[in-house]
Amino acid sequence: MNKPFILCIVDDDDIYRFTITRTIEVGKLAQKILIFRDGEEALRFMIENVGNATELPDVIFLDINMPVLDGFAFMEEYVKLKPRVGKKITIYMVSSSIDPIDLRRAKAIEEISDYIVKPIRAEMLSLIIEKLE
Amino acid sequence: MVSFRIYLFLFVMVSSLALNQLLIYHGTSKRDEVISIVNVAGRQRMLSEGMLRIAFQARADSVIIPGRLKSDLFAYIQQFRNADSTIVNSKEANDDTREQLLAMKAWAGRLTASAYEIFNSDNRSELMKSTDSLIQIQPKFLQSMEAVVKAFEQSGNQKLKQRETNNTVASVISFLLTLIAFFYAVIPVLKSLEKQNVELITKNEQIKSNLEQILDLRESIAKNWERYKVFIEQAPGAMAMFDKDMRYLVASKKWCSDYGLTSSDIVGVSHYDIFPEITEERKQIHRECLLGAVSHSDGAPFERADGSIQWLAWEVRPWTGSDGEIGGLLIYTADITEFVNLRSEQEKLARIFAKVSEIARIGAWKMNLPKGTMYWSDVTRQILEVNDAYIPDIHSVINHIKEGENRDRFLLAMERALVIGNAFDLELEVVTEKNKAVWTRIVGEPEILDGKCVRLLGIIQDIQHKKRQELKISKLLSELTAILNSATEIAIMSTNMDGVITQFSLGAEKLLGYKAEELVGWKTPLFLLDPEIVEKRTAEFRQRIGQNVDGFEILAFQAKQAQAYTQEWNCVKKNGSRLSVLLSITSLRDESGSMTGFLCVATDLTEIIRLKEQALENNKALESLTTKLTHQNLQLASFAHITSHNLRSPVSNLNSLLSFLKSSTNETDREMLMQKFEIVINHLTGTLETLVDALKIRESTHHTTEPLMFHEMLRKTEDILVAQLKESGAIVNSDFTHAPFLEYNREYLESIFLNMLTNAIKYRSPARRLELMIRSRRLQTGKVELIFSDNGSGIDLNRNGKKIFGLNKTFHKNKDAKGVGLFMTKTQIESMGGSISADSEVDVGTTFLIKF
Repeated sequence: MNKPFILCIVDDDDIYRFTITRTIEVGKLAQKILIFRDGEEALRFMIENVGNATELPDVIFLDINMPVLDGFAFMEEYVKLKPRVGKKITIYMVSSSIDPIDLRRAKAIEEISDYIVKPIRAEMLSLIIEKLE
Repeated sequence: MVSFRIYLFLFVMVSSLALNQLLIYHGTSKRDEVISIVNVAGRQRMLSEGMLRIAFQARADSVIIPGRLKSDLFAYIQQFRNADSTIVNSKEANDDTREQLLAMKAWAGRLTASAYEIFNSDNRSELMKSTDSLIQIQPKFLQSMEAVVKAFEQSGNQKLKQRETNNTVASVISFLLTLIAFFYAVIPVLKSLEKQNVELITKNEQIKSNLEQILDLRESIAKNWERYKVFIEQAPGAMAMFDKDMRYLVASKKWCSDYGLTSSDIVGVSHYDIFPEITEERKQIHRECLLGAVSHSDGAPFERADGSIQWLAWEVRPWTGSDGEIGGLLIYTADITEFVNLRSEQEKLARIFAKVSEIARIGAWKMNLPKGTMYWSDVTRQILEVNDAYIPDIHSVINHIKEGENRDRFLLAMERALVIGNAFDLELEVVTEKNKAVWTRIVGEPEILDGKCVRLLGIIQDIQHKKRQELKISKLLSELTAILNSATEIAIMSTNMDGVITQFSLGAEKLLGYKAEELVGWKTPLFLLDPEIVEKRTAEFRQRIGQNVDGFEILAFQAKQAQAYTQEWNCVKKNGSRLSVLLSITSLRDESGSMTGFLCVATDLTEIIRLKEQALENNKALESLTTKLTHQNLQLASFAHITSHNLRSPVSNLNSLLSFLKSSTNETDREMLMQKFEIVINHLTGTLETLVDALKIRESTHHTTEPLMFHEMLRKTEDILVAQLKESGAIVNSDFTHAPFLEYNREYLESIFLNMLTNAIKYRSPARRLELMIRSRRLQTGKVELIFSDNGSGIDLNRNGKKIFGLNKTFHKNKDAKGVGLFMTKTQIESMGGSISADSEVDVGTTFLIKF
């Protein structure tokens, strides 16, 4: 690991946030974890740190169903922001929804690398991060 | 006689004249006498004056009267005495004057006496005494003389007056007598004079009239001559009048124009001079005519210069003058070429006519009634198959007509013709001589003379062929009619070019309720169509083709262009009810291809329409069912989605927590994990319960409903939420006037109200006081709507539109024990067949529209 790996979780389920954080910490998968409860908070952070590569996350695990700004809404805004973002960020859409419509919709967005169905197992998570590193 | 009267008159005149003269003379003489007396009286007076003078002189002079005076006096006395006697002895003395005369005589006597005394006086005293007495007497004498004169005058005047009167009367009488006599004498003379006068006048008149007559005659002779001239000049034919030397007297205009002459030029000129080409032969004829012969030709051909034949008719005859002598010739020529040509044409036509009659098989016949004879032309004989030798009569005619109805008809017609004078035209079957039955047309026209029918003229035509065709056609027609009428459910009608109905089938009668005779020849099919539709289609049509067509033309136009014009129409039956038909119009054409009319076929679409409508209804029902099913499906799908999603989350959380719990080392950590477990399990339980409830609602097929008052619902809800309302200071307004109640499930409606109000309070704007307005309204369809609008913080529908009615997974955010969220509300509403939707603007407010 060259630089500190920053992982970002955007999810409104606090239990989930707890479990995923713990999983990451236990697995020592990332140096820093950014946690946002909804798309709006995440987006605000992104805007504030758009040029700051050290602050920006390397990977984002984005939930779909969130209040204020949901996953897709966030993506819409992120796409506009992306040119200015000074770092390559891999975004995974995460959801417990197995609705094929959501899946298709996520696949349609370029910036999303993949669609993951909850729960994410620790092994998968480490695999993904390893790949990214 | 005359003479006597005249003599009488003369006598009367003379005698009256004489009488008058006499009277006048008498009068005059009498007058003279008076005058003489007056004169005398005057002289007497003068004498007396003289005497007086003398007396005075004597008195004045001397003693005695001078000698001179004496002699004068003496003279005076003598004269006086003479005169006096004259007067006294006057014839005029009468009763009137006698007195005065006497008185005067007395005074005269005294005067003379005193005068004598004077004369005789010797001395003065005697003189004085005598002159005194004279002076005294003399005025008295004058007075008396005066009186006498007056008396004489008076008497004279009286007498004069009388005489004058007498004279006048006598004059008048004599005048009258004379007049009478005159008239008496004159009247016969006058009468005779008058008679003579009258005679004279009459004779004069006669002479005058004779004179006039003579003049008239002369004039008329002149006029006649003019007229003859004009007559000849203007005669329609070519005519010329010549004198004995064949010089033109007058020629008709036609003559001039025919021969190219001018009438003014030829008068007086010899005919031979103008036409030197006249042959000697002709001149001979003229000479003969001048002697009294007449030359005449009805027509002779002459070859013209161009080779065509000219036919001329002429007449040359002499004319005699008033003296009875032949005055010259009248020549008349006529170009009868045209007439001849016409005649030959006529002959030709007659030949053709005969030929035609033969070919057309029309024969003529003539019946002479008084004689009872009959004439049949050749063709008539042919038709009746008799030979030329056959002599027809009335009976033969009747016998040839087929016995039965035909003969009866003929006899009736004959009777009518003979008695009333009506012509007849019948189609009768006759039996020829050879016993063949032939259909003929027999026409007869009576000729009436003096009110009686004397002749019957007519024709007989062989119409066997025609009749046969007729029968064929009639048979075909009846077949056609049968076919037409067999179609009892289809309306078939034919029209002429103008669209007027000519045929109306039984099927049409049945379908539309009209009888054929009500429409045939009178109405067009348009009459049967619904006028509204006609109007609409007319307008559309006009627009489409850009022409202003009207009436039947709308239907005809299309039919003329295309094969058939088929369209749905609404008809109006006779009873006024409407009928939907499919109307098909085609044009009818004859062999040459020209249009003769139109054929309209209409089929009843009622059944079809009914079926169609039914199909539509079924379709609709199916669609709504499909919609419902789809909707339900979607709901199920979302339900499934919701279910899986909302269950998976907590379950996966549980799994994660479990794995943490397994690997957990210390107690505090495990405690914390346990708490998290609890949270998640509660969440899960809640979700499961909600889902089960939702399922229950969905599955329940029977929702109990009752009439519920909105305002009551609101009141109840306000009671439940009284604390929240007070805390928030919210104002709740409502207007349920348009739809005060609703037949609905009580629980659900309570739930709806509760949810709406709870949400409004929850999502109110911090910037202002919450104002919530609840309205109800009834739609035209009868359905009720409920509208909840607030001025809260609003929802960004773009982002969260779908979510608001979704199952809220963040139940861990202090789930309101009092409400179940919009998800349940939506489920409840939809299970009752309604819908809910939201409209909102961020920071303005939100409106929920619930359709029950």
